[in-house]
Amino acid sequence: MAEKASESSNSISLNTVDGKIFKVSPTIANQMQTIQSLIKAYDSSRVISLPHVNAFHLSKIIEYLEGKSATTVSAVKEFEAQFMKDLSLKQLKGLLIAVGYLKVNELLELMPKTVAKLIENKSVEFLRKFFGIVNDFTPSEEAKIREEIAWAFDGVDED
Amino acid sequence: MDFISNLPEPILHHIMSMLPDKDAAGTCVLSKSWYLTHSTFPILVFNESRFVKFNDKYNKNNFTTKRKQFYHYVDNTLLQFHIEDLSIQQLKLWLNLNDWIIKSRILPHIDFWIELARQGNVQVLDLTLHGIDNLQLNCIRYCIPSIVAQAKFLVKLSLDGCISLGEKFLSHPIEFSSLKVLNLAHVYFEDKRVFHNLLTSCRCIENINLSSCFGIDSVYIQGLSKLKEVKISGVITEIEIDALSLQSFQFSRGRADISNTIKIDKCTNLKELSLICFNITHQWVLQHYHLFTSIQTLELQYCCMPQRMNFYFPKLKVIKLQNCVRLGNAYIDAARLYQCSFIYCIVSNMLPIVSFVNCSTQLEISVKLSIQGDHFTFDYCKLKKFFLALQCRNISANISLWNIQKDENLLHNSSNHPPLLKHLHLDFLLENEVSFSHVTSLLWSCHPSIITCRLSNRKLIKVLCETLMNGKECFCSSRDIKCWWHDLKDVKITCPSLFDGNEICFDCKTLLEALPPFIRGDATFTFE
Repeated sequence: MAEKASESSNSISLNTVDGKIFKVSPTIANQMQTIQSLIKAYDSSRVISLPHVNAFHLSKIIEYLEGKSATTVSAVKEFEAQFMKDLSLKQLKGLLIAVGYLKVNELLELMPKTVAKLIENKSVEFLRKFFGIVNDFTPSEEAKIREEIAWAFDGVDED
Repeated sequence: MDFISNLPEPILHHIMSMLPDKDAAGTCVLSKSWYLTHSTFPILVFNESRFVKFNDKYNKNNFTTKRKQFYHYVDNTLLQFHIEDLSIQQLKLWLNLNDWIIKSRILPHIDFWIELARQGNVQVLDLTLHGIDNLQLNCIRYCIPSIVAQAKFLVKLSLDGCISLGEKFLSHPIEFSSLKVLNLAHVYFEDKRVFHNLLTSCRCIENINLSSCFGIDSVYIQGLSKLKEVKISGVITEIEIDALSLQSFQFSRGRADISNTIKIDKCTNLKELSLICFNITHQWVLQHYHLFTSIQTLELQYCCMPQRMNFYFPKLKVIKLQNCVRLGNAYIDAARLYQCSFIYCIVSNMLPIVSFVNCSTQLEISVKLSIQGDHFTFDYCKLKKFFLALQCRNISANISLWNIQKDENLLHNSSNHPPLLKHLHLDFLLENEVSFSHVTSLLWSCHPSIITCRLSNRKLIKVLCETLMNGKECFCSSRDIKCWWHDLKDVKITCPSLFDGNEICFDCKTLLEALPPFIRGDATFTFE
């Protein structure tokens, strides 16, 4: 009990851009490198405001950091897979920016890997449609680039 | 709405770094912003075989054009980085050097590319020059330019293939102060001092991987305080490492006719030890015995070992023994061991008798035996001794037999002891060698609770089924023994193509009748 009480008194308050205050334990906070360096710079009693992070993204990051402390390797893998599955593309993008800003190293590995899996071995047309990328090349420009890197288009799936 | 394009560039680059080179390059066609993102992507991979296919060499014009296109592409990309003063994190060049003419044309290009990479503060340099003759000592080699020695930011250097490191590296100062990983394969050293000069300049080095290099016959490592992993293979006769930080050491001898000495007794924090084709003597064991207290993973392959061994490994978790000769008896005291594997391709008298002292109930042992009879009659008693000595509940074995002697006198009585093995996968490589007496002898020596075999091994299934149905001359009436075929519980077939991977229970009679020819899958016989 005593330990718990001291932990809560040590907890760090984070203020998101939409005005919500999160209280997190130092172990969680220290896994976000940006916050770690902010704690060192200020005294810990102050509320740290995060102008680039909203409540949803911060809650997701905390959810991840708390959840991945599962005991077995396979349980962590399962949790990570489910965590990524629950995110929509739009949420994924926002969260990636937040994770990049806060420097959460594990998510900075996991999330790009997930996005890379979505891109791997897909055709250009599929990727444009899937991610909503607008093709702003003229047909002749595109043909020229395709010719430049013709080697990259050997044996790509069409869907 | 675009869900990806306006992510910050470092994140996009990070995503691209996790893609295969083709997919990463392909992103530049997506849109203008992706084109720009790709143009600054600092991981440059140039793989010649992506441009020039193997078949192209039959059409000479086509071949030359494609090669030129490739050189041009590398030139352009690297120059672009140079002009815009962009940093190059990684340069990977995989080239084919198959004949003289190609070599003489390409070698000056490589100098130029490496120099551009160096000026771009390259951190990872990976140069692979494949040649059909790169295993020959006297093949035409690319001489690494001395300018490489000034690549101060280099963290990882990998050289593989027709490459040599010349004497100029003796006179030039080598500034590899940030280098952490050094991989050298098939590289030729003009002077053995070059290698040592190279090593002493890498104060931060963590991994050294030296594979089949020429021109050096000894490796002495000392004073590298961050060294974690050393892998050496090839014709190196003397190795001496003095590094407290070393965690993993792997040695593989390149030629059987050369003897080597390995001295690593000062590496007292070693966790992984792997020796392949090394002659382990009593004296060597005595000299290195104190290392065994820290070792967690031990792998011995094709090693010649003392007849008797007595080991105490307080931290050992995984052990792998493969085809080690001369070892007769071994006692291994390893309370934390949980994984053990034996792989032997043998005539029976080579099998060591290994006993584990203080082993945990978690221990899982996997045994893979490929039994070849040749001129010997296989000794099933030895096999039984081997399994009895292991005294473990979790043994799964995979036994394949080939060229075994036809000897109808092999029959052994089955004694009534509990199963020695959890699972036995049996495979007779030659159908006509399956006989009731061999199966009975084998099961007498292994006594599994489950037998599996390939469905295509029809004769084995037939022998098993017929015996299980009809029995044979019984041994178990009079004495305290029991024949193996009395205990059958059920028979199952797992066959992906025919039954969608569902397990189907058969009795022996229907199994024999239902078995279509040429079918993949396993039959499982479970005993009580």
